[in-house]
Amino acid sequence: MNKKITQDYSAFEEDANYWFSVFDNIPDIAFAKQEVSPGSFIVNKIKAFARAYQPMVVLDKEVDLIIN
Amino acid sequence: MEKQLVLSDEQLVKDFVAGDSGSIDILIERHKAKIFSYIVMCVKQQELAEDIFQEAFIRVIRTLKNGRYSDSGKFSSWVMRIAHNLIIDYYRKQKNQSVISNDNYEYDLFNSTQFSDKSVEEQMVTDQVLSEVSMLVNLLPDNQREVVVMRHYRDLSFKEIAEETNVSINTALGRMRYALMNLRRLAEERNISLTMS
Repeated sequence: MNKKITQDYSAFEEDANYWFSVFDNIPDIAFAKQEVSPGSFIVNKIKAFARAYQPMVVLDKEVDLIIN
Repeated sequence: MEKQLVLSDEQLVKDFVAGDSGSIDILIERHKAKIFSYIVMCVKQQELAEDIFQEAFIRVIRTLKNGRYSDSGKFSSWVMRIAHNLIIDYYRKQKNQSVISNDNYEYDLFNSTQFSDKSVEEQMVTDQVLSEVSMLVNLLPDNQREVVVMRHYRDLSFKEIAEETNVSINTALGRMRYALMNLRRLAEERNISLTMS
């Protein structure tokens, strides 16, 4: 079996770097009325995670505690 | 609403770290369009962009709650940097995955109608069935719907589902079993045929 790469991932990385610099220079307020958004299911899951997640240290090790 | 308009990102971050969960809601609502637009611009796939968006904010929440956030710039830039790193990680992971090639074989394994594009009619049937399945999934109880979405829409393993929902693997498997039984029942009740050609 040969290993073949059919996509130019290095170019994708360069694109991502480029778009990062573009977006980082756009003021946040410019997106205030944008309707582009992840699905509400995703947003609600994140909000729920924020409420349920509690970090804990057990035996000097950080562990995650999710309280449902 | 008033809070949403008045408080700065820095103040909302401090409030969230201090235990006010509502503050992160405002931060997410305030910045979701910018962060998500950036991710979509890079990866150009809605589902993948949603996965990266979710993972980025999970990391944000973990970092904030663990007290590791150092207030050294714009909040949106920090979240975008996390999303950016996830995008780069995704590209590098894809790059390192092996791709099967049949160059060394006379018979072309992939030259089969099985792998050809669907006809318009087949595509319409598929779209219809997927739409009906999605509608039925929405009728499931929350814990069953969650497992189905994680397994079939987000492609998580049962181990990952168990970890994310904080239940045992057996419970996750049980929920999936009941979800499938309920989906069959719901489809029968509504006379919906879920057969694809």
